Amino acid sequence: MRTETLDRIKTAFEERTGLLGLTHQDVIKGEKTVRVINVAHITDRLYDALNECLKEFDSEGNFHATLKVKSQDSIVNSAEAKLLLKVLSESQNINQHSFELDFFDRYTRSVSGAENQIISSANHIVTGRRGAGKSMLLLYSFKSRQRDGLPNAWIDMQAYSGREDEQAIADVIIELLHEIDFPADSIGDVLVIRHKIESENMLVKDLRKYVPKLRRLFATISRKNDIFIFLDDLHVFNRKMQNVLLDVLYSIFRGNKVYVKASAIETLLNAYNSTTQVGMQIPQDVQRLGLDYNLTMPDKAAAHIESILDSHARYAALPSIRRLSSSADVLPRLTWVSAGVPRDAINLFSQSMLKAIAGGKNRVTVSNVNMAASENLSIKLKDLQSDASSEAEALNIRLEEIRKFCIIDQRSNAFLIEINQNSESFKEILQLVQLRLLHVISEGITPKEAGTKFMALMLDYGLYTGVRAAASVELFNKDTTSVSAKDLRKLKIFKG
Amino acid sequence: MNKDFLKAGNHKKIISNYSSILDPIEIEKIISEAKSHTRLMYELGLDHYCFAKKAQKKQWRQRVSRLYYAGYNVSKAIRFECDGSFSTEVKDHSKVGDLPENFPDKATFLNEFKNLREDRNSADYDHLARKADLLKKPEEYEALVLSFLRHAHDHLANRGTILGAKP
Repeated sequence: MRTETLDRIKTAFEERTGLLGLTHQDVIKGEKTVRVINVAHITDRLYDALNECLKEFDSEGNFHATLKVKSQDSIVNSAEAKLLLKVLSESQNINQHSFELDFFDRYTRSVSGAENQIISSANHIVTGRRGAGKSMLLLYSFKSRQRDGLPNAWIDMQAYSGREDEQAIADVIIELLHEIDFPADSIGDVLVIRHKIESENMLVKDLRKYVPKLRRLFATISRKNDIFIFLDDLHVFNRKMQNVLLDVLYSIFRGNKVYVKASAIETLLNAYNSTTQVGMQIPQDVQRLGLDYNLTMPDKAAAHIESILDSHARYAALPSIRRLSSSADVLPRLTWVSAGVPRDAINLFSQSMLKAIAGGKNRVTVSNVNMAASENLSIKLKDLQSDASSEAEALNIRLEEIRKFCIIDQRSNAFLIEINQNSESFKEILQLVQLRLLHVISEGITPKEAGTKFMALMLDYGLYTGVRAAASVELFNKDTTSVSAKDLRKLKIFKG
Repeated sequence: MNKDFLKAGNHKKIISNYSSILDPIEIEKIISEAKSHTRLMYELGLDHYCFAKKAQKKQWRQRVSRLYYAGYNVSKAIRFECDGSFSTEVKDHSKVGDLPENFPDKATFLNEFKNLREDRNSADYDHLARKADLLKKPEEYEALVLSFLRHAHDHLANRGTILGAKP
């Protein structure tokens, strides 16, 4: 009977924490049996779960169970590592419901302190490469407000991807009206206006007629508390209509204590059209919050990635991410192959763990990371199709040109390109950077005559591994140390 | 220091029940007296901790026992400050891990103080007990109690109890 109750307590603890298959010992203390459950690292979250289980199955306090740190050789096969894999997988796609119960325990603050800005009463567009942590920053603001009981609306713009009709803008307004909790005495007006917008194919010029009414409706809430409207992944909304959507929203929100918080890949963003003056202009109407640590600051990027992985590791009852690594070289290599993009690093580390398990290793090795990175290219090429579908073909051609120039002609994984905002080739290269197929290693250097500035870039790791030439390719700054101007000047210029 | 102060009952309840008939100066006197008791309970815990810390490593029974009383008395000080409760009955030991909602690592202290209490019983009463039978090592308990004393110092000082230097 005694052991049965302790078994139930342990099973409930495993289910509650996600740590399945933990080992234990039973220790006799006088007339009491104490169950000691072994974990790799103890946190207050684990004790909280265990205390709850004890209360649930033993309200009289006749039993006791506790935790003990026990290290094991093959940590990559442990219950904690399996939980980490699950946690890392959950963290790769962020939406308003992510980390419902313990968001703030698992959130890693940005090095630049962007959190203070995103929670302020101002319009913001968070920019950065795919996986840089844009949605996570929006979610920080969303959850902070939710915790304080302040009004919010989260719109996942992916739902409008591929829409070319103007009705898409009206549909965003309808979703907003669904998402916001209007006061009871305004519900009637909300239903009437929603019904009108829903009932016909509404063009933008017709929709604008409802702006005064919509302003009044939003004011019923914002009179008491300001409202934040989150537009996640704005760049997937039809590019020609992004500025129009922002313009319509701004005409409703401006001066009404309603603020836009959007996330977007910068090169795929069209927030304002200067000819028609439609949209939200940066920085007058909306501030840009850049969120990108790239290989121009390898040390900062490495520290940020390690702190993100550490916070997930601690949640999974591991002392740190380094405990899972076979050497001190694993994390610098991870930063390098992920080019400082947090989501890529998370994904690659998960893949590396699986490779270590499959290979019978106790911990993740540098070669596990290399293998995972070389297989990761297909995901990025898929992103190219979904994020930049209309330009995908041209970008693919440009990418292949650069790959040939680097790998076949120059036998180097890095190159220079002249900074020329009017050049089509330069614009395409910037898009390839946003899609993480090329990585910036220096924003601007002057290798030759004064007045001509060049950007230094590196090919994504997946683009040159697995090909025969890879062994003879010279790898630039693979240890993610700071880069010298002398080394940058040696790189060859791509003249696409 | 008034020895009979604690016999009068829960000082928080007294202040609350008699707030309409006591003038602010009288209330302040009660609060001040309560804070003196809080401080002394905390210092008693600190004394036990210092004794345990100085004890030789092989004296595991004394170390575990004193560390338990360090935790117990400081926990008592926090409960006294928080809700005015005070008891000298044996039953009070079951509350050693009952800490206020906002106390840091509350769940850890709740569980670990139960371990410490079990091991204190072995250390003080079980003639057959060996050091290896302890749920946690004396060094681990020492680190636990030190962390508790530090959090308790912050907690009490932030609520107006004047204490010495943080351990």
